[in-house]
Order: sequence, then C-alpha cells, then structure tokens
Amino acid sequence: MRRETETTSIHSGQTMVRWASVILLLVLSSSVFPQMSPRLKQFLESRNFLELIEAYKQEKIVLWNEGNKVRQEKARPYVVADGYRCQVLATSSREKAVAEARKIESLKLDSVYVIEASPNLYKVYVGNFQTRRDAEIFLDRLRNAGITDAWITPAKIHVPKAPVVKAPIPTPSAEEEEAVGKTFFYAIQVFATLDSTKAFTLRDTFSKKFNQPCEVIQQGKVWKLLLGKFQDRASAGELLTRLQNEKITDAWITQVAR
Amino acid sequence: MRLHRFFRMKICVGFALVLMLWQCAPQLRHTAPAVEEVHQPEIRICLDDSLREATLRFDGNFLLELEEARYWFDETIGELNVSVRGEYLVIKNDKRFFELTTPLQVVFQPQYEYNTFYWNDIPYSGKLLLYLDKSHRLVINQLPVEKYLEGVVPFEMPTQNPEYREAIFAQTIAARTYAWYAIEHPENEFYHLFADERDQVYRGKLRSSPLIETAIKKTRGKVLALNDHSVRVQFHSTCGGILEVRSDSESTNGNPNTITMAYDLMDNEFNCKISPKYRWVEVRTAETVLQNLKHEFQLDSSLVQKWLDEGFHLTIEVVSRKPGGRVNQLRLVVNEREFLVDGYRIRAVLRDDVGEMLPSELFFINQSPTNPGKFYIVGAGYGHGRGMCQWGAIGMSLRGYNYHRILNFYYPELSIKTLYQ
Ligand SMILES: [Zn+2]
Repeated sequence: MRRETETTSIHSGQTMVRWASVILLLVLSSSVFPQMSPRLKQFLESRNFLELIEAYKQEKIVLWNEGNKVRQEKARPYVVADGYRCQVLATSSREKAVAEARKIESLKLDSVYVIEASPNLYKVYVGNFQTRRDAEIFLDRLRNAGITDAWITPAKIHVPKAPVVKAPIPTPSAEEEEAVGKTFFYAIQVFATLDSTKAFTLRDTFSKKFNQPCEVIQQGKVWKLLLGKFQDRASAGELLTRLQNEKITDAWITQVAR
Repeated sequence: MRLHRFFRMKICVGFALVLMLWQCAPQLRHTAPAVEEVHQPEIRICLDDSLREATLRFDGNFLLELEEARYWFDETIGELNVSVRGEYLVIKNDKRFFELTTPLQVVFQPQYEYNTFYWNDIPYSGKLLLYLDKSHRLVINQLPVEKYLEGVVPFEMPTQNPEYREAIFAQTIAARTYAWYAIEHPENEFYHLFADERDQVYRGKLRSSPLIETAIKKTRGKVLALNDHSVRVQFHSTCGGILEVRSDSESTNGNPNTITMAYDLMDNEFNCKISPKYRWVEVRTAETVLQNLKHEFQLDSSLVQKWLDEGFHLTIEVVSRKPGGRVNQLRLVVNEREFLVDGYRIRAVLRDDVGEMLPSELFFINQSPTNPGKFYIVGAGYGHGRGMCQWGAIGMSLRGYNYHRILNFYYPELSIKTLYQ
C-alpha cells in the first residue's frame, strides 16, 4: 500500500519536473520580453490558472547577485599577477611624474603607469612583463629611445585575459525536446564567419537592432548567425525585406530543426 | 462643515445671479438650460490635493465672487497661471492679476451647464473650487453625478466598440453606485472622491463617445443596492478567470474577511479570456527587487549600496495563497534581512525597472535556469479580482448577455434600484 503511494508521488514528481522545464523552455524561447511567444501564450491561455500554479509553482527561490565589484573585476580586460616593470622615475613631485609619463607615453612603446607609492612619492613605471628576460629586452628599447636611467623592478602587472568565447546557446535536452515535440522554424541567415568571437558580438548587435532573437549555430568550422524565429515562411519574409531595406542583401530564409 | 455652509451660500448666490441674468437677458432663456437639475445629487471630486502650480482657462462665462467685487471670466481672458506662493494664491496672466491671501475658499461658478473650464488643459463642466489653508491645498470640481459619469466611464473601459454596449451599461451603473456610496459616506468635509486611481479615474470632458452618452442616459439614476442601501462596489480590469469573493461581516457571523473564490466562467468559457492581460509573463532581476524593497521600506542607501557592491542573496518565498490562488503573503530575505509583504505591497515590491506595478497578485515564480540573478513571473489578470471583472463583462456582452445578467453574475447579492428619474 505504502509502496504504491510512493511510486505515484515519484511519478507525478517527474512529470512536474519535465513540465516545469517545458514551461521554462517556452518562456526562454520568447526572448523579447515581456512579449510572450504565441506558443507560450496559447499554452497559458488554454489552462485554468489554478492548475498552472499547482503544476509549475516554485514557492521558494534563492537568487544570487554577485555584486558590482566582482562584475567589474570580470569586465576588466586583464588580471593582476606577479611580474616585472621598468621603473623610470621616483619623485616627490606629482607634476614631474605626470610630465615624464606623458613623454614616455608619446613614444608609444608600452603602457605607462604613475603610482603613488607612499605619500609624496610618485613612481613612473612602463610595461607589464611576466619574465625578467622580457623586461630586459624592453629596457634596451627604452635606452634606444633615449630613456637611459630606467631599471627593472618586480611588480604587480596586468596580464590580458584570454578572449572569452561565449558558449553557444544550449539546445534543449532530449527529454525537453520529446515533451515539446520536434518542431521546425524559419529564420534568416544573416552572416557566416570562421571567427566565433565576431559571431557572438554580431549576434547581440543584430538582436538589438532588429528586436528579434538571434542565435549562433556552429556547422563544422563555420559559425552562422540566425535572426528571428518564425512559424511560417511569410513572416520570415517580412523580416528579410526589412533587412534588405537596411542594405543587408546577403541574407536568406532558412528552415531550422529544433 | 465650514466649507459645507460656504458651498451652500455660494450655490444660493450663484443661483440668484443666474436668475438675475435670466431677467436681464431674456434671449438666452430659450437657448440654454439652467445649471441645476432636479433630484440629482452633486458630487465633489478632488482634482489635486497638493496644489502648487496649474493653468486655467475658460470657455463660456464663469463668475468669481470675492469680498470686494465680482469678476467674470470667459475665453477672452486666455490662459491664467494659478500658483501658491507662500501665504498667497496668485492667479494671473498679462490681462488679470489676483493675489489672494490664504486661508481662502473661492468658487468659479459657471453661468450655464455647458460652460467649460480647463484645469491643466483638461476640460471640466461644473464648478471649480479652490480651498487653501495651512493643511490643505485642494482643487475641487463640483458637478451633477450624471455629468461626473461622463468623465469616468470612458476611462474605465474601451468605449468605441458597439458590441461592448451591455458591458458599458453595467460599468456605468457600477460607477454610479461607487459615487452614490461616496456621497452617502463622505470621508471628509471637502470632497467625495479623488480624480485618480485612488478612486475612479475622472478626466472631465476629455473623452466622449455616443455609446457613453447612451449608456448614461438609458441607465439614469440606476444604482446597485444591498437591501435598498448604498454599498461599496468594487471592480477591476481582468480577473484572469478567478474572482476573489469576500463575504461581508453580516453574512458570515463575526468572521469579517472570509475569502472564497469563483470562476469567471460562463458557457464553459472564461469571460475575460479576450483581455490583453489575461495571461502575462514578466522577468525580474534580484537587483530590481532590491531597489523596490529599498523604496518600499525606506532602506538605508549605504546598506543597499553595500549589497549591490559586494553581492547578495535574495530569497523570495510565497508564504501563503488565498483560495483563488492569489498570493496572500510574500517573504523576501536579502542576506539576513527579512521583509514580509502582503496586499498591495506584493505588487509594489515586484515592480519592473521603470516602476510599473506587477499587474496582479495571481502569479507564480520560476527561477531562471541559466542566470542565478533572474526569475520569471507567470501571471493572470490585472487588478485585485474583486467585484466585476470589466473584461469579463465585455466577454459576456460579446456573447449576447444584457447588463442585468452581467451585474447579476458579478454582484449576485445586489439588486438594481432607481435613485432618481
Ligand atoms: Zn475575469
């Protein structure tokens, strides 16, 4: 008796999880908020809201906001590491330090930094080198440029981050696909490139400009940009006309399986 | 009370003046009806309860009677600037200049019913009253109830579609009932209702349609009553299919707020399904909710900034729901700080980035599977869900139900009564 009850509850639990993922998938697929996708709208309207609450509610959620500091850290194009810099000057005059920094900056050799080491002591540094060897090579260049009294000193340096490539938009899992049913949609292929970073940058530009969902898909080595998501070819055609009016002539309608 | 007497005096003076004018200008008698209508009560609407500055102009004659003299205003005077400057009320343009000491009560009295004054460019009929003292800076429009309805119903419901006719009739009766209750149960001595969402939105003669005029004329004097008495009716835009039913204390024997639910369902169809807010999906971030909490609970700015800089956890928990599924209490925890919200505030703490309130309390939340700081709110309806569902009434109207049937569906305990012909 007890066993039977257990089985039932587990089964309904699974159903609920699957439907929850379906509704989320539907929500997510309507990327232009707060407008609902026609499919989601139809789905929500076809049911008594009390039943929807029972089926999909999450009565308690815990959100996490990482904070501006971490966000800024992540947004910075470099990380801080131990290394070497060439020190050019140490002076109690801020003006003098800034003037010297400007002069070196104009040589366009490397990044120049004015750092207040202690109150009334300003130091001018050049470059970010991970090894002493790299710093020595640069010191020679400085000397050749006429800066003869510079020396190498261990320092915290800025190391550029590796370019971040965003993961492609996750495709629904097999389970989700099964639940939603395999479907097709029409989109406009607006761009193809071998450079994934470029594809993802352009994705955001296109999506914003035309107020349409835009996806990057990878086919072999080629990254393709698909703009819009339409149930029928005619609607896709309207967007294509808009694109052509914007002088984007190298675009066409394509059918995509989801 | 003081003002009440003052009003009465002014009405008498105004009436006497109109009579005098009639005798002086007999040619007008045939073309224009007098201001007063028989048996129909007048209502006072507060257009602004904290006057600082406004514009005022007139179309037709208005009389301002001060101690020293009487002044007539009409369209030739042009736009006047009305402002409160310290102890004074200043009404001026390049033609006229009045500097009146407060406390004061002034009335701009129309000569004829169709005369119009424009307050901040919105046209109104009836009288304009200004009441200023240390604790009040009130702008009030006093006019017959039927006239008032002309400025209310078009803002409660879309009124251009003739197929909405029966719903508009029902809404007109509900709005008149609302006004009747306010007149019978005044909350203060100055005015009965606000002109904004605190009561019913009232915008004078700004919008009109033949359908509205017909609805008001055909239902003239008709209100809803509970055992022949005035009653506080409620209505809202869209219930989302689920109405909230509150039983009054009398019928539930000392259990004052028993809440039950009813489906807004007829002929196996949810009546308000055609509403644009029948179902909705909103997205919010933890940061937006934190900003809303800051605003609602007047949180210390530096504390909020610290959370925003160093990161925070936000727990959102639906503590309880009412029988119809509407959220009854919401618990929010930012790091260790807890906030419990209910009623109106639930919609306020879930405002969007531009400050728009959540449409209703009938919703559920879903965490974003990809972004830990984001969540979705899937909801139904717009408004509190009590009394008549306006889009539901429209739905019933479209399916051929008349206003008697509509009102009976949403207010089963009430009956229609005629206050005046
Ligand atoms: Zn409804």
